[in-house]
Amino acid sequence: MINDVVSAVISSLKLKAGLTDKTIVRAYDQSADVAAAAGTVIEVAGSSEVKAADATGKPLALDCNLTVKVATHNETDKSGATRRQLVGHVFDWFMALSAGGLTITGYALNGIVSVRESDTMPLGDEYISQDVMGTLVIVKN
Amino acid sequence: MALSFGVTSTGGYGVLQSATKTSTAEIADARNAEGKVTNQHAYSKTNEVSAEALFNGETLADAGAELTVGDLTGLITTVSKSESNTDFQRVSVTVQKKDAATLLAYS
Repeated sequence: MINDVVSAVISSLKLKAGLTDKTIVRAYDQSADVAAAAGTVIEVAGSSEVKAADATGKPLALDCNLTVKVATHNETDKSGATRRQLVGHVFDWFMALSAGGLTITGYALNGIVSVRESDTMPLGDEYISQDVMGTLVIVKN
Repeated sequence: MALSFGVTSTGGYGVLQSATKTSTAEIADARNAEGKVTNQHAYSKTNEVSAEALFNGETLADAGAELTVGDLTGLITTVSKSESNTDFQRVSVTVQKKDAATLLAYS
């Protein structure tokens, strides 16, 4: 389920103005060609936890904790302006999300309960990243 | 050893998330000259069920109405609905019946 949510998030992010030409991949996707990505990579990771369960303990609703990591190359984005702009776009995407705003087979986005941002962090030797995090409430259809 | 999992009670309102049944007795004590209890007499018993559920939009009765939760049919002593910006709406209800009393709902 969480993989479907991450896929839906990536598909939706790719439609966001300012992100349409960016390389957006799920975390740990090693197929991304960083050089071809012009020194900019946006990674999406997610995990889920039960928010409400039925009588058997199975989830009726889940909190899906998403992390969107915006990473830019420290030589091509020395001032960090590109990264800050992209982080802003991702933040705006989270803030614009509302119930029904994602297409997930068998599930639906019911709401969003948290949007937050991390500090800037080094990512490996050549990249600097900043995370935008959100918690989506996903319910079974 | 047979263990039970989850909420097996039905009734109340919405999607039950928890249910707690409590039975209490009123007991009269007889004490001797030293103050120690020598006899106890249970003269009344109260059964109560409290349940919490996810609100599903159904109409909620007020306190004083008759309601069945699990195997107990009684009068609602408290019913509340909570709303939060970060959670589903929830309903809590407590139903009570004393002894074999005839139930007469508030009107």
